[in-house]
Amino acid sequence: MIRKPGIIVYIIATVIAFVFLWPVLYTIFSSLKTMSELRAAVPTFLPQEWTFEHFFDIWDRGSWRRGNLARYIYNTFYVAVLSTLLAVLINTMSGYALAKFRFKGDTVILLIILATIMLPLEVIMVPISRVIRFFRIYNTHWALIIPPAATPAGIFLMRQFLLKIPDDLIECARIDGASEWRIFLTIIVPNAKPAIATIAIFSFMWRWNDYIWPLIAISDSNLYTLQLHISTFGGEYRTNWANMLATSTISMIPMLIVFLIFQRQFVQGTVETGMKG
Amino acid sequence: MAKKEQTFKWYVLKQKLVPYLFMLPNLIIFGLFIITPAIMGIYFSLTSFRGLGDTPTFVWFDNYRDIFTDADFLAAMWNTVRLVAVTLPIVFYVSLGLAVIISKELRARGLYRAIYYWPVMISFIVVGLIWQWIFHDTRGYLNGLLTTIGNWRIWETALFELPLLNRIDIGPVRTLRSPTFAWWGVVFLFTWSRAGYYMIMFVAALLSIPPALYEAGELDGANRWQKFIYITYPSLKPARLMVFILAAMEIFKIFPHIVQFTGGGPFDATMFQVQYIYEEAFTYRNLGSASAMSVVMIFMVMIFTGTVLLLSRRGGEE
Amino acid sequence: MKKFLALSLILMLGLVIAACGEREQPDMQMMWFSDGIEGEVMEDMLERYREETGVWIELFEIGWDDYETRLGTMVDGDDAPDLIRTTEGVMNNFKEHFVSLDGVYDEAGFTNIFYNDDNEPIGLPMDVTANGLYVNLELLDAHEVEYPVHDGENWIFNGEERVWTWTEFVTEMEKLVGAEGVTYPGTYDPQGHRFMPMIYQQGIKIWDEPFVSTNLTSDEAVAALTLLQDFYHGDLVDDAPIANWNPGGAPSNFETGMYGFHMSGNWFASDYATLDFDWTVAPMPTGETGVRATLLGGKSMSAMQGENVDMALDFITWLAEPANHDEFNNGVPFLSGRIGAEIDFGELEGPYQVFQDEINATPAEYAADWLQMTQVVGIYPIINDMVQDVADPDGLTPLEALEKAEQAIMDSLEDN
Repeated sequence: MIRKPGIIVYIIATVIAFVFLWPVLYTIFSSLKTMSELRAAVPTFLPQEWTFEHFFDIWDRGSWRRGNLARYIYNTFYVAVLSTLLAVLINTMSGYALAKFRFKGDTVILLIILATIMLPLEVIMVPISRVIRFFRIYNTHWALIIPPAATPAGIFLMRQFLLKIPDDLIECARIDGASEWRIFLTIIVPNAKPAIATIAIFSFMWRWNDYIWPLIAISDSNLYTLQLHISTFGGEYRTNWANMLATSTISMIPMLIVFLIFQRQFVQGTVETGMKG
Repeated sequence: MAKKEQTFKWYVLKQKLVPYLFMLPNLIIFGLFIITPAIMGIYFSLTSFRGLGDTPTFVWFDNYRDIFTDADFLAAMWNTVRLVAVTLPIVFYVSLGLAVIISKELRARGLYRAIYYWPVMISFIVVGLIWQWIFHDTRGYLNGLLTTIGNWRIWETALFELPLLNRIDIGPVRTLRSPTFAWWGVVFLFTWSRAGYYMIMFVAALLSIPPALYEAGELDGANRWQKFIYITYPSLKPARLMVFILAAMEIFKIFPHIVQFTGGGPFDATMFQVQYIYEEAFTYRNLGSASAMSVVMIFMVMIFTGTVLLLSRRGGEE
Repeated sequence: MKKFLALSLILMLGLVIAACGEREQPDMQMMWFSDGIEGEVMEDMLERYREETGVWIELFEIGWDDYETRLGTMVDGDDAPDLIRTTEGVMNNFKEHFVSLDGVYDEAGFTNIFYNDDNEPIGLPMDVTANGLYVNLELLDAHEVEYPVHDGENWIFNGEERVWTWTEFVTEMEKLVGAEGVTYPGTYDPQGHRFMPMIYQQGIKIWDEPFVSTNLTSDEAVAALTLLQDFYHGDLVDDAPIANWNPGGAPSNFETGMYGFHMSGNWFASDYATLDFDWTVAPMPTGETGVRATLLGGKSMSAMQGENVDMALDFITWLAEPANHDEFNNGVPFLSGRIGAEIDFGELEGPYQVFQDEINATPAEYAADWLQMTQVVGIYPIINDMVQDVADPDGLTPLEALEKAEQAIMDSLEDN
C-alpha cells in the first residue's frame, strides 16, 4: 500500500509542528510570568520566575458573588455540548437529503446555505437581536444553542462524505420496506461516523469559542460563557492582560482534551471507511 | 387496483417530500435566524436608521449612492480583494500539504494532527492577541529575540572571525508599525490559524481514496509525484471546491482576528470590509449605510462564488 | 456507537433539566464595564443596598469594546438596563433614552454633570478623570532631563515659580532621542481627546459660540495640532499605539521603562504603583501664554427609561448620599465627582495631588467648554479621526484635519 514515510517527511512535519505549537506555548508560559516579566521590553520564552498568581486572581475575581469561573466553564460546556448534539443531528439529515435525493429547489437551497456563510453576523446584530427577542429566547441559553447549530460547513462536509456511500445500500433497504427514517438511522448514521466526528469537533469548537451570539443574547451574568467573560477584562482605558491571558489559557485546555478524545473516534472511523474503499 | 395506484401515488409523493423533511430543521433555523435578519438588514439599508432606538426613515437608495463616493470604503474593499487573492492560494496549498503529511503512515500521527489542529481551536480574539505579542514593535518576542541576538555579537570575537557576518547588523525591525509587515502578518496569521481546519477537510477526502487506485498506479510504474498528480489531486475535486469556497468566504469576512492583531492599522493598512462596516454601524452610528455596505459586499462575494461554481461545473480548475 | 448515543442522551437530558431550573430574578439590572476593580466595589455596595432596602440589583459586565454596540441592541429591543455606568460618550449617543435626574440629587454638590438637550442632568457623576503626564524619573534623571518639581507650594521650573512650556518640554525631551536605554522619548494614548488639552493650553476655548461656531481653525488650534504632529513625525512620540489603534499600546510601552513620558490620565496610577522603576506625575506643559489646562471626564450612574424608573431613581438618590458616594470612590480609589469628597489615596497620594492640582488650575470656562463639546453627537470618532489623520505620514496637514473636524461637528449639529 502506501510506503513508509522517510526521514525527510518527519523533519518537515516536525518543523511545521514547531511553528504551530510554539506561539501557543509562548502564550501559556506568558500566563505564568510575574507582572514585571510581562512588562519587560525583551520577553523570554519561559518564565524566569514561575507564578500562578494570575490564575488565583481570576479564580478570586470569578468567585465574586455574580457567579464564578467554574460557572462560566460549565455554561460554555453545556451550551457547546447541546448545540453540538443538535448540530450533528440536523446537519447529518441535511447532508443526507442533499447527497442522496434529487429534488426541486436543491440548487436554491444550496445557494441559500452558501449565502448564510457569506453573511458576517457582526453586520446584522441588530436584526438578529430583534428576532431573538421575538422568539422569547433572549437571555436564555437556547439562543446560543439553537441558532448556531445549523452550520453550512457541516452540511457540505456531510454531503460530500455521504456521496461516497453506495446508492445500492439505500435502495436495498428501501426494497426491504424500511422507512426513510430507519434507513437514515441504520444505514446513513453508522456509515457517516467519521464525518459525524468531524462535525462534532468543529461544532464544539465553534460554540466553545463563540462570542457574537452570547454578546447579542445574554445579559445575565449567571449565563455568561467564557468568551463573554474574557471580553469583560477590557475596559475603556485599561485592559487586564494578565487575567485575560490566564483565562484564555484555561479556555484552551478543555478544547484540547475534547479533540484528543474525539480524535480516536475520528481516526478509527476514517480507517474503516478507507478499508471499505 | 385503484387502491394500489393510490398507494403508489402516495409513495411517490412521500418520496418527494422526504428530502424536504430532512432539510427542514436546518432550513427553519437558517430562515429564522439568518435570512430574516438579513432581509431586515436590506430594509435598513434603504433607511437612515442609526441603531440608537430611533425609527428608521426611508431614504431609498441614498445610502447606496453614497457608498460609491466613499473612498475609504472602496479602499477597504480593494484591500479585501487583494487579501483574498493572496491568502486564498496560500491557505489552500498549505492545508493540502498538511493533509498529505498527516495522511502518511507517520508514527505519532495523532500527535501531529492535534498540533496542526490546535490553533484552530483557539478563539480568534486570542489568536490576534498571541501574534500581537509576538510581533509587537517594542516588546514583542520577535524583536526581543532580534535584540538579544544582536547583543551577542559572537561574531565580533576572535573566535568567529567571519567578515560577512560582521557586517550584518541584527536588531529590532519595524513590525506592526510597517504597513507591509502588518499586511503580510495578516496573511500569515490567517494561514496559521485556519490551515488546520481545512486540513481536516482534505484528510477526510484523502483517506477515502480507494487504495486500489494507488496499487494500479504502482503497477503502471508511477512515481510518488505522478501518483499525487494523476490520482490524489483529481480525486480531491469535491473537497478542493469546498475548501476553496469556504476559505474564500472566510477571508472575505475577516474581522475578529484583525481587531486584536493590528486594529486595522497601521493607518488603515489592514482595514478590511467587515471592520469598516462594523465601525460605520457602531462607532459612527450609521446602521443604514452600514447595511447598504453589507449588501454590496455580499453581492460581491456571491458573484465570486457563482463564478467559481460555474467554472468548476464546466470541469475547469479553480 | 450505541454506548456513545446512550451517553449523549443521558447527558442531554441532564443538561436540559439543569437548564430549565428556574432562577430567582433580580429586581433591576445594572450594566457595567470595568477598568480595574470598581465592578467589585460596586457589587459590595449593591449587596449592602439589598440588605438595607430589600431591592436586588444585579450587575452585568460588558467589555468596553462592545459596550455601546450592546446597549444599542438592548435599546432597540425596548429592553434597556435599568441602571447603567456611563461615560459622556454613552450619555451623548443615547441621550433620549435616559431618565432626567432633575431634582434627584443636589447638582450644586457635584462637578462634571452631563446635561441633555433640555438642560436636565442625565447622570450622577461618580468618579472624575483628569488627563496628566507620567514621567519615568530614572530615565529622565539619567539623561539630565529637567522637569517641574513641586516645593510644597508652587511648581518650580528652571528656578522660576511656574510649570514648563511646550517649547521647553520639547527641548528637554529631545535629550532622550536616540539615548541609551530609550526606545522613544514618550508615548501618547491614541484617543483623540488626550490631545484636546493642548488646544486649551494655547489659551483658547474650542467653541467660539457654543453649538454655533468653533475656534478649531484658529492659529492657536493649528499650532497645537502642529505640535502633536511634530511629536509623531519627529520621533519624539511612538506612533505605534495610534497607527494600530491600540489603546493598550501606550501603557505597555511606558511599562517597559524605556520611555520618558506617557500622556494619559489618572486611571493608570494604580497600575503603575507596581512598576519596577521610579515615576511621578508632572504637570502638563502650557502654551506661551502660560495657561494650564487638563481635560475632565468621568463616569456617571444613569437610569434608563423602562418599567423600573422609580426604583432606579431611588437607588441614585441613595448613591448620591455623601457616605455612599465616597464609599465607592474610596474603594478604588478614584477622584470623586462630589465636591468636598474626602478620598484616601494611600501611597498614591502624591500622583493624585498632581491630578487634583491640574484640575484646580484649569479655568472653569474651559471645563464647561469641553463638557459642551462632549454633547456633540459623534464627537469622539471625529476627534479620533482628526488626530489619526495628522499622525499618519501620508495623512492631512493640521489645518486640513481641523477643517475636516470642524465640518464634521457642524454636520452633526445640523443633523441632530
